[in-house]
Amino acid sequence: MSRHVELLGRVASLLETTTLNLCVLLAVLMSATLLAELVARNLIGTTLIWSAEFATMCFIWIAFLGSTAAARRRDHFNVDLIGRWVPAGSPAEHWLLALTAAIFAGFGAVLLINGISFAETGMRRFSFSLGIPQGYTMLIMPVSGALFLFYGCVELLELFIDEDRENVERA
Amino acid sequence: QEIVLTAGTESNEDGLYYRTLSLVDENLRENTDGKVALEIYPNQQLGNEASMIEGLRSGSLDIAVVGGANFASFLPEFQIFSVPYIFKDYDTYRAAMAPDSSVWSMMQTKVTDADLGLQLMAPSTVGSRWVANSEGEVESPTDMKALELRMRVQGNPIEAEVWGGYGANPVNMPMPEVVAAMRQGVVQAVENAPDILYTYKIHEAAKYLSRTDHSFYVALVLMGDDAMDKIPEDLKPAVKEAFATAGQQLLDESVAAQERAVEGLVAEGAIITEVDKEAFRAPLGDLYDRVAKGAGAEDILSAIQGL
Amino acid sequence: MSNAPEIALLFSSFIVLLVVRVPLALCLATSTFLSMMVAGMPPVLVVERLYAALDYFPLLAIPFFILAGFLMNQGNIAERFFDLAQAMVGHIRGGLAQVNVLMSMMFASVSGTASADTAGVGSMVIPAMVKKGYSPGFSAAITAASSTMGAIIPPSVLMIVYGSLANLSITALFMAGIVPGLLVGLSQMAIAYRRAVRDGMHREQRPDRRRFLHAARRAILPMGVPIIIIGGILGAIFTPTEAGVVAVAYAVVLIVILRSISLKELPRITREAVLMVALPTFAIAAAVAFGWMIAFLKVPNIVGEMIEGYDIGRQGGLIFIVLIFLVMGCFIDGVPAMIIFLPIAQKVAAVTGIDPLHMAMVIVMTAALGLVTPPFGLCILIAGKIAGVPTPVIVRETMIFVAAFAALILAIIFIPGIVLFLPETFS
Ligand code: NA
Ligand code: NA
Repeated sequence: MSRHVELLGRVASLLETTTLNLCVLLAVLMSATLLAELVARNLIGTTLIWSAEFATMCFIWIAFLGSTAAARRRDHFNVDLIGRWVPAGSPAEHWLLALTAAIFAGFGAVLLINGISFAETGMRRFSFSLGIPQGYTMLIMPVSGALFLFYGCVELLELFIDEDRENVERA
Repeated sequence: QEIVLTAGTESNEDGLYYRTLSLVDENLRENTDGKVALEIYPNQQLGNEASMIEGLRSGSLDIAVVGGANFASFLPEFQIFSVPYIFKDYDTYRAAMAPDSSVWSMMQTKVTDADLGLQLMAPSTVGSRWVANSEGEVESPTDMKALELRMRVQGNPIEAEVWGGYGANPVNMPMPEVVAAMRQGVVQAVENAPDILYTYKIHEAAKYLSRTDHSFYVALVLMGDDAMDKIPEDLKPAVKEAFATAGQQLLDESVAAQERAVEGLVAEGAIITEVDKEAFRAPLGDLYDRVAKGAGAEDILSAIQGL
Repeated sequence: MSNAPEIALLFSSFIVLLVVRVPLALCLATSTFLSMMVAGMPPVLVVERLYAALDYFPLLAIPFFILAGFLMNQGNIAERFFDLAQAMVGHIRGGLAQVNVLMSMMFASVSGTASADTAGVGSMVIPAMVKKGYSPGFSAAITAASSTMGAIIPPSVLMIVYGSLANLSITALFMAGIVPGLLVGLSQMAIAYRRAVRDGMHREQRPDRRRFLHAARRAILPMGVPIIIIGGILGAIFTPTEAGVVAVAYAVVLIVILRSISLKELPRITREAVLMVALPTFAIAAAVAFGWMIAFLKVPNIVGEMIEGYDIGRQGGLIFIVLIFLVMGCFIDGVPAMIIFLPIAQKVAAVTGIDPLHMAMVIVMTAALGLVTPPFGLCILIAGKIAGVPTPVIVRETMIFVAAFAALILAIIFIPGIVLFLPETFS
């Protein structure tokens, strides 16, 4: 059982790195687009009418994709109001981590299920400057939902099954 | 018991979109003996126009006032209203927006048939659009070219083509940044209704206003299907009537509002230039047919031309 | 009040989730979703709200001003600011404390966030200060306090978000931040001076001409970044987003020229950079959805009716807003706190007739102050980590700076000219 969890964990880490690399690429594209618009306007005297919309799309994708990776890395900011009562490594902390993972998974499920219908309605929304339906841009919602769901579940498995393994080893 | 419909707009309490909704509210209360009323959320409290349209579709919002240009991303046929001088003059525009006109009923049918979960209830507007610039008087496209104006336009290819064709350099930029950008010389021109220009105090940076009237702006009061279902069958005619009346009242009021805005602008130092409208119209030539064909709006175009 | 159950659920679920250490952005999104469900709204709405929150072009300036600060730190460029600041004010009484504040000021004109300022300045100046005999607590405190300028002196992510949500010109907000930002810095230098006199800190030698010129020459290229940003925006060339793009491009070129990052490190650093952008942006999206729900449930109207009964006037209205934000700033980060309570503040402003730009600056200043107030003052936490000092010690040492900062906010409330002067002069 735990070997499977380990494998899943490695898949999750690979996905995380891949998404972050994709974000880097999007960030480069976003910057290049805006620079190109600046050059076009000031040096050539024309405008790239699609630049604002394309760069905004990159921005939205970076924000949501990046935050899925951050969920995997436990990088999201939280407010520690109860640190005094929940020492690091305590069973209580274990349960709190599990709760966060479960909520990430649940939130991911909501994003995934509703994100699909959201992107579907977006196929009815046309972007004139890009010449494509906005639904393609909106696909980020179900995609990031699926990633949140996956990472949340993997984290739960790691928290419980790996712990069982530790207990067995200790026994 | 009373049915309260939630209605949203991007504009503040002084704007014409907000006024549209308060007129609708007044007429609704009167026509239904207070059984149906509006709760109005101004200042894009419930989101911008695109997300309010989504709200209407998903049922979280009942009514919204949105610009025709934004609605066109949901129904590309409506792009045709963004083409400058699509209405020959103010009278044609008003005739098209009348509740019983062929153009208006075609618009309503198109919205219903598009299966977006929306109904077109009434017209609204921000007035007719003018050009403001910081460099000098503009009477014709030749002046625009001579002044080498960098001009803020709405972010769609038709606008870029039209203003680029006149000799301006179109720039895509959010409206709140325009004044600052003008002071800095990043842009020198902008087109919008005097009411909006006055709100943004554009004249402090760009005092030359050209009365181009290039677009009698088509805005729409939309209702979600879910909202319509909330209204009892026997009240529906009275409700529809209330919207229709409010729409016409708003279009009437918008003329006076525009005059007030222009007076304010002039009092604060703006210089108004009368333009050679023919010179602005002439270069557009085949654009109407091209846009109509591209957007599938040939029928709307011929209905407008038949007025 | 027909919305009472939804309002209660929105706030209570948020607080409960926050207490059990669920990440802030997830707390906001989850409680918004729960409240929407109880209100009988379609579940797709939460997806739509999160997406729409970011689908707005002016927000694009945010990543660039986060990246600019990040690159300054990663590319060892900040070090040159340190040397310059030291050459300029190192010899004044309380030298390194003065250097800390001045360097923060320089850093603030590059970075859009205060936390990058804390990290960048702190990692360099705190060890130096401790070595010279300053207490770690004071060193961390002045670092945290002065880094608030990062959010006030342009560029500022707080201002970009505020301008985007309230439909105000971000350029005007940036201009309005310059004077109060400088005043924060000057007041802190004065405090540091008084303290140095009290503690009998000895004076460093004035640097000789050669050393000064050397530091200045080394800082010329990095100084290009603030010149592009502030000069570009004030002086006729860029919109805020464009200034951000150009500044980042320039910083990248600088790093390549100065060879300050090894190529081997590049993948790790770029991945970290996009995380730095994604994390706050996702929190912004969730906060906008939460704020939308507050507006939808008419919480602002309730507050508006509440204060309409008392004739509190403009100043009273502003003080009321400051108090709300101060309390919130104690628990959640400045940007989300500002977003959530903006609808309420706008209602208060409408009731009492406050100028939008004036209110914006008071709120931005208060949100910046929230970064150094306990228990959740992000800058205090970062500075504490660098100095290895427990939070209560820094909090105690920060109090005098907090008091001076609060006095400045009060001054701005009663003398709007402090913030409105520059934007109005440029009109
Ligand atoms: Na500092
Ligand atoms: Na800054």
